[in-house]
Amino acid sequence: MNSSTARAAAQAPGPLLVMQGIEKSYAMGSELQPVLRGIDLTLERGEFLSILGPSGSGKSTLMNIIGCLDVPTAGSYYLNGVDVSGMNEIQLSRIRSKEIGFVFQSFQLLKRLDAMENVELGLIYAHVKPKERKQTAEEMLVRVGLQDKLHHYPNQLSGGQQQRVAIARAMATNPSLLLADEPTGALDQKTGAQVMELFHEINAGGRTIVMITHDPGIAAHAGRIATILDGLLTHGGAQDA
Amino acid sequence: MLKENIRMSWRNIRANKLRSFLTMLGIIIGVMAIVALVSIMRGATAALEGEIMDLGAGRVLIYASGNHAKAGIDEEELLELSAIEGVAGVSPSNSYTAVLARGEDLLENVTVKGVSAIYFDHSTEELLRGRLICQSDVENALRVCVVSDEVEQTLFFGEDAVGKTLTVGGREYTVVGVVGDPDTDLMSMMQENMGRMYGTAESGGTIYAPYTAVQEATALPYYSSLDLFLSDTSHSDAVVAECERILNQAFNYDSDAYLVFGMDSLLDLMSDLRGMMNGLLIGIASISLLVGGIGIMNMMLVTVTERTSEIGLRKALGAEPRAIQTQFIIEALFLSLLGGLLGVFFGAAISLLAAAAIGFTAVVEWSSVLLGFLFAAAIGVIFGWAPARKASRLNPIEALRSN
Repeated sequence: MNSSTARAAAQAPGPLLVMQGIEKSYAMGSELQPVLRGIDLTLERGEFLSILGPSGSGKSTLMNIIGCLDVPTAGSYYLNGVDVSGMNEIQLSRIRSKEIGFVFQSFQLLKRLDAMENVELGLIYAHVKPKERKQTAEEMLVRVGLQDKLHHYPNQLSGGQQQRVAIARAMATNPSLLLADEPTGALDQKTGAQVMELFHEINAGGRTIVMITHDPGIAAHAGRIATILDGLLTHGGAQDA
Repeated sequence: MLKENIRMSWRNIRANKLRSFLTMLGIIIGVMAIVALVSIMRGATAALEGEIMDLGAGRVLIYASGNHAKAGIDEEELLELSAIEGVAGVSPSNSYTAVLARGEDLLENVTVKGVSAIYFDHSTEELLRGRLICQSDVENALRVCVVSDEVEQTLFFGEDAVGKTLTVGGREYTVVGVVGDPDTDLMSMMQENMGRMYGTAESGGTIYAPYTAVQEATALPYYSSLDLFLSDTSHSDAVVAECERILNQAFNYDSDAYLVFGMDSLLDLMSDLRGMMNGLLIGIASISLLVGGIGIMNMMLVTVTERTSEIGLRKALGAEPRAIQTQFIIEALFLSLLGGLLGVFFGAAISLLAAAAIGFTAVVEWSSVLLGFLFAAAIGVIFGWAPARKASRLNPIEALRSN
């Protein structure tokens, strides 16, 4: 909690994320196929936002741009006060390391690394020293309730446990933004609910979360829902969590 | 990050043992070949050189088959040759094959070697009993001889031959000494095999007599071969040149009539040959290493394709392209160095086995080991580079998608 508030003090003032007029098109042969047609989005620190949309709506493309895995063809994107819309791959990788924590539908754990080593992975690329890395990784795994599974390999963990390792990994580098892509998509109802509860805890601790989903029931967990359809975003009102 | 990369590489290699081994096979064979062949060559030529050294360091051999004008080297030329600067002495040889007799017993196919007193100073035969041929024997053309212990065994039935007489081609000779057979060496083995090939029967042994006495027996006023002993081996070339000059004069520039053979130049030749062979072997082995490198590159490309989602994940977690590239180069390097290590191990094992089987001392050349290792490392980096670069350039979004 303390580190969170300390970080808040050290950050740039204003919203965490400001997107204006974001467009993204892909070249299909000789034609340009537009996927995002002009998106405006503002995200305050500590918010829990859902982006809800069916497949083909452009939600994955939007997520990639938010997560700095891709750059828009037009428009501006300020993340934590920095304009990331025109950055090259090397610069983007540094931003990702520092600011973004990813959680994927398929967990994306490395099967030859145990839980601790998976969580440490992001810390390695953030150039954190080994001793500090191990400490942080253990803390994170304890926080998601996996203190007994520190040295288990992914194939020794259930789906829900694997996703929790992924969440621990995402948080280990203390990113500004937790970006989750269909986090419960590969889990059953009960486990999915457990993961959502974990998200609530994390958000309550001050972490900003953006969740992409096609499931309205899951989307409803967030404090705010934005609906995406045909490359355009409709902002819903704030909800009572 | 280096430690993590190494750890990761080791796990990936272990996870696919058979595949990793097959990938490394080219490198293993290449390095094994370099180490084994160079070491075997080294050991074999060292043994051969040792024998040549024993046989003839500081010797110049002259063979004079002569021509219709002059049948061989005469006394005058012999003196001229002895007088060459750097020559310690000359031992003319007029060997021939004879039948030895002692009473009723006969021994056939015995080599009677006419020598000078200086001969035994430079040969490997060991005096067992009695004495060797001396200068006064030669001067007086005495009919004395030194027999090999093989002859003593067969003709004298184990009795001490010193002081006894035997008949050589009808003439009576007194035995004054017995020598041990010269070491069974590569050269005499070769000679024996040559003899067998050309159908000459096995030698019954050797006896040594003053060349002056033998000359009397053969009634030949000339010599067909000489051993020239040098006082200083570093002047071998100069002495050879001088011999050729004298012999050219003697045989009127008929170069077919004689042959001058400096043993030291033979050793130099061997050394050059060995250098050339080494180079050739390393070249051949390098081709195998090259093929091994292609194997590594192929496997790395497959690996990169298999692990695209892993690469995508690492990039999402903040890995810069350079970090991905380094990771895969280290993996390729790990494979090639491990292959190099195994190659060195097997190569050394093979050269030790070969040495034990053929019978010379194995010399594991550490320079060839180092060379093999360095080659392996270079192959790893060179052939791992392209796949690593490909990995670093993968689009993270597409990479993550391919699950």
